[in-house]
Order: sequence, then C-alpha cells, then structure tokens
Amino acid sequence: MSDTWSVFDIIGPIMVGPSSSHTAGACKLGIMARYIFGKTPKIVHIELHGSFGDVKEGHCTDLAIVGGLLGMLPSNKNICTSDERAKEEGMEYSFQANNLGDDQHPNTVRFTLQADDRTQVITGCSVGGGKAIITEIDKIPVYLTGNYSSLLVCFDNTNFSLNTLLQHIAQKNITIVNTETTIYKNRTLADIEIKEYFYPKTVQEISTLNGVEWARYINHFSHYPQ
Amino acid sequence: MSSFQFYSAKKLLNLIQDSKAMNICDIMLKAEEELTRNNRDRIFENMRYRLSIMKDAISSELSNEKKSKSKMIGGESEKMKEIKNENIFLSEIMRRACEYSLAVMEKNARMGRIVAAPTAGSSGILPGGIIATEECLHLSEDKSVEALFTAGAIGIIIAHNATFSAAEAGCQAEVGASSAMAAAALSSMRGMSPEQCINAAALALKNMLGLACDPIGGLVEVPCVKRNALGISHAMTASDMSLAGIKSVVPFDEVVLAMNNVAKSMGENIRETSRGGLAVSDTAKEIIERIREKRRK
Repeated sequence: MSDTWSVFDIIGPIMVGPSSSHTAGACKLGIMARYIFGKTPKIVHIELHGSFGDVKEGHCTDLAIVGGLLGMLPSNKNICTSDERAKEEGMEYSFQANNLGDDQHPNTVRFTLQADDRTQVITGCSVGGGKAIITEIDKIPVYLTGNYSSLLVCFDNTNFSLNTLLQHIAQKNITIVNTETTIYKNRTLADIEIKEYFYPKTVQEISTLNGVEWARYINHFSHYPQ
Repeated sequence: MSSFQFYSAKKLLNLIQDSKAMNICDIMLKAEEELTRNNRDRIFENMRYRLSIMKDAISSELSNEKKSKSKMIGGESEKMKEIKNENIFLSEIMRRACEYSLAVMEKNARMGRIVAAPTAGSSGILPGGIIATEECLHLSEDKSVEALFTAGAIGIIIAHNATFSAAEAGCQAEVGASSAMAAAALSSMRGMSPEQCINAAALALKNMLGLACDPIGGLVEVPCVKRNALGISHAMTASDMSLAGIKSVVPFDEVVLAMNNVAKSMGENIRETSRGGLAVSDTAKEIIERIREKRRK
C-alpha cells in the first residue's frame, strides 16, 4: 500500500455507527460521487458488490450512501433519517446487490447518477476504517482518495491539451501539488491536486473552455477542524 | 532530509533511539507534523477532542438499558457495572474497562456518534481501556491523549502492512488490531518502555490471528459488542505479560505479516458476509426471521 496514513485515519473518523467500512466509508463514497457529479442527482441507481450487498441493511449502508449523496458527512447524526431528506429534496434512488466482477474489492459500489439529461457512472470502494477510493468515472480508471483537494477535468484530447489546462491554472496563481492523467479512447481525465481552494468561478471558467467536457472541484476530507 | 515516517515497528524503535525521543507518542506526533504540516499543539488538541467524544459516548450510554432495534443488544454495560460478587476474577480497572467498552459499542449499535479506532466494530476497546486506566490510576487527561497516539502508531504499522477491513481479513483486522493497539497504549500509560509496548502489541495480535467476522444478520452487534469487552481484557493481559518480562518469540512486524497471510486462507463466508460461522447458527436464523417479520409489518 503506497498510501500515506495520518494518525487520525487510525483514531478516527468521528462517525455515526455502526460500521466504519459499511457506514462511514459508504457515506464518503456517496459524497465523492456527489462532488464528481456536481449536484444532487434526480435519479440514482446504486449497485452494491460483495459484502456491501450482503449486509447492507444491518449496517445502514443504504442510509449512509443516500446521506452522502445529499452531502452529509459521516459524523452527521441526520444520516439515520437520510431517506426522508431524499424525499424532501426529490432524489429518487434504488439499490441492487450485484456482482461487479471477481477482481473488485469486496466493498464496492457503482453509482449511476442522472439529472438534466446527463448520466454519469461512478465506481468506488470502501477499503476499511472509513477510508474510501473512487476507482472509475465513466469507464476511465482513477484513484481518488479524498485526502487532497483536487480539480478533476475531463476533456477531448483531439482539441484540448493538458498544457493548455495547466497554463490556465497557473494564471490563477494556484499551487499544483501533483498531476495525474488517464487517457481513455479520445478522452483524458486530469486529476490536479492543489493546495488552495478553487473558486466555483474558476471551475466554471475551465468547464467552458473549448474541448473540456466537464470540470469539478473535489474538496478533501480534513481531519482537522476547519 | 530526515523523516519521521515509519512502516514497521523496527523503524519506529530506530527513530526513537536516533532522535532521543522519549516514547512512541513523540515519534507519532513528529510524523503527523511532518505529514500534515500542522503544529504539535493543533495535532494534540485534535486528539483530545476525539478523547472527549469517546468519554461522551461512555457517559451518555451508561445506564441506558434500551435495546437495539434487533433486540439483541442493550444493557450489557449496566450489568457489568452492577456486578457484585466477592469472587469476581477481574480487577476493578479491568472490570471498568469492560463496562466502558460495552457502553461505546452499545452506542455504536444504536447509530450513535463514536470514534472509529481503528474501525467502528472495534471502537469500544481503546476508550474502555484508556479511560478506565486514567480513572483508576489517577492519571492526567494528557496521558490518555498520549496513549491514543501510541495506539495510532501501532495502527499505522498494521495499516501499511495489512488492513483494517474485515471484508478482506476478518475480525483479526478489527478487534485483533484494536487490542494490539490497546495493549501498547495501556503499557505506555504505566510507563513501560517502547520495546515493552510493542512486545505487548505482538502478544495481543498473535492470539487474535484467524478471528472470523461472522455477525448475525450483518449487524455490528453479535458477536461484536461483547467481543470488544473481551478484547480489552485480552489487551490488558498481554500488557501484564509484557510487564512480567514475557517476550513474544515472533516480533510484532512478523505477526502483522502473518495476519495478512492468514487472511488469504480465510474463506469469504467468514469475512463480513454473514454467510458463515455464528451468522448461520440456528439461533441466528431465528433472529433474522424475527427481524424480517417485524420489517414486513
């Protein structure tokens, strides 16, 4: 495992019970899916693989995922009633236990999110102790841990390039910590780890650049009070 | 550039020696400072906040005899508190640790707020042991906060070389890891050397290898809640054995690797799927049927 571990990954997270991987980790996957999708979905279909599917109700995995999709953090006591909140906000959801492949982590979930004629498929897994990783976005393999703030940009590589993107970000005086790209067919997904906060306006600007399909700012999960 | 990051107990002990640090907690604080660029006070206070949530979980849950939704859990910590028998085996400190561990786990089962340490299913062990020790040995709160850092250091070594996911490695990765962390933490609270702390962790983890994760109905209740009380007694025994000078023949780092190795031999049925072990006992089947019926109504 090449991940770094903070002592508060071990003595933490602060969370609503009963299970760190099936409740807190599931909730984090919901939030990250929401960040990537960019808004509360109208309809979301959630496929649960392996152990996730087997013990969903006992661990309130369903409530935790729904809570996450609505933007609740794992320590939010309202997770217990997230089903009611979903109704209020008009988010329809459905769950299904499904085998997503033998090479998948036993706690894997696949979201199919829909709103405004837009559909996105996001896969992630809860790897224990409340940690979660997003592994795939629209068939493009990724590795998002939520440990850092990052800017995700998906673009068509026939008429846009990473250089153009980086130049644009540099003009805003934003410090880039790390850049990872994955190419799938004619599309590139750039995961740009940053130190500062990205203003919604900057993200909006980037998403309207010619050749960019979408851009999102993913806030990290901080172990320290803000 | 010198670094305080460690991935093994061996490296941790070397760092303590080289930097003339006092204890495991010192190195853990330095590693966290280096990793997150937060200052020592902020890190320390963050851990104190977690301790306060642990204390809240215990004080709000004691004397709560309400049953959990499944009716399997509720009132255990109260029973452990009220036990009155001159022939009780446990010392007061151990009895109290069991009582508190049960309280946190009951809170967790009712979807209350707890601190995963390292997981929610093993969240009773550290608070139970540390807070009972603080009270019975009349230690300062700072000692408890330091103990949580010591526990965290042991946890980080396990995280780097194995896992905390019961779906991958069964309960040895949860209650096993937690009791190893507690064995080191409690040892540090009574001034044992870093070597003795790590030795206590090795003794505790060794005895948990192969532990199945087979919860009834997938709920974090049976056997999880009571297993936390047994886990802290286990950690205390390991710490006492280490204090007595009993050494683990296999060093801690190798025990962690052995845990990984054992995980590979464990069938999926006993890795948090509720398809084996206690989860398929006759009693479990009856309980699940009862819960389903209730849900249909």
